[in-house]
Amino acid sequence: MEHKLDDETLMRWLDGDLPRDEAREAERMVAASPELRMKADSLAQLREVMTAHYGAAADEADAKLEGLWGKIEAEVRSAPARAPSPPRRTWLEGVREWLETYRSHLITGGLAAAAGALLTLAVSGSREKVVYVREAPPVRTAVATAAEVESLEVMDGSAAVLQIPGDRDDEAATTVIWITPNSPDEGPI
Amino acid sequence: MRAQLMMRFAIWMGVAAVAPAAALAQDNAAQCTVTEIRASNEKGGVDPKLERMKPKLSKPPFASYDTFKLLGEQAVDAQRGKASSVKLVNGSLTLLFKDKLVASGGKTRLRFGIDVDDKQGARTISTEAKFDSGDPFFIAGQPYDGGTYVLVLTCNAP
Repeated sequence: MEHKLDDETLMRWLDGDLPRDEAREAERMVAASPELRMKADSLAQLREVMTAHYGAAADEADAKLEGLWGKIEAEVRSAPARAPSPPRRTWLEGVREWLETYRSHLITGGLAAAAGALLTLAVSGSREKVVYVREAPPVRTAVATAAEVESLEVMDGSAAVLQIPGDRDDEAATTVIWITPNSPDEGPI
Repeated sequence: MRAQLMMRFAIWMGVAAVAPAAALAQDNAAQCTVTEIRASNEKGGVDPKLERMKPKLSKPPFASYDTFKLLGEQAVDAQRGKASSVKLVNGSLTLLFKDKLVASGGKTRLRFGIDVDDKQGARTISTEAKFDSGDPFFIAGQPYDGGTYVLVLTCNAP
């Protein structure tokens, strides 16, 4: 008879994991083959040894875990009761507390900023800065000037140069040449 | 294409040649308005056409009149150095644009020779005066039609 029972199937048979038909077939083959029987025996022994070893390790681990749990429970029990929540603060009190807490940081930061600003001023101040300011053009105010009579000749009469003052400050006086004829006869002025 | 370019070039050259001459002509010209008024005491008030002169006409020496009637108004283009004659209701006026000055305040000031003749052509008044562009210049006092004759000369120049 040919032995075709491989190690995996043999181990499964030993563990009782094979279906009934395959288990019956494996049993028959092991019974028929001394080689397979010897192998099966060896595997069974190895299995027992391993089981015993892992069982002992598990028992030892259980004992250790039990000890740890006990320690944790003891520490939890011995911990003080939860501290009561602090009274509610206003935002101003919070800011003040923050300032008090980080006062040194603020002072350090302020000093650093001031030093930086001074350094910048010193560096930029070393270069002469020329600012050109455009001079505003002179405002040309129209000066109101009354008419000037440079020469005047009146035939058959006399004349007077009169001024009618302007209504506004910037309005020139109006010049009037007033003719007084020698004769009352009508004529062109 | 070339012909169009040539024509365009010629037009631009023409404009370039004419523009300074036009500017020069404008610089040598003044636009004058000759206004004739009869002043009297007829309780007629100021002619609506003379409304712009009312502030002047309400002050001495015109304050002694209560009626101002527009007799006529004429526009005269006065060219520098050229006499311009204007016919008046009772004679004639000759204007001679002599000079254009720029006052220190930036206002243009004009120098004019003004001659007034009677109907017979006899000279009655001759004067030379300087006045600002746009400012009225009055010559008045001669009897006219039961009232007083008033001549207003206003000249404008750029």
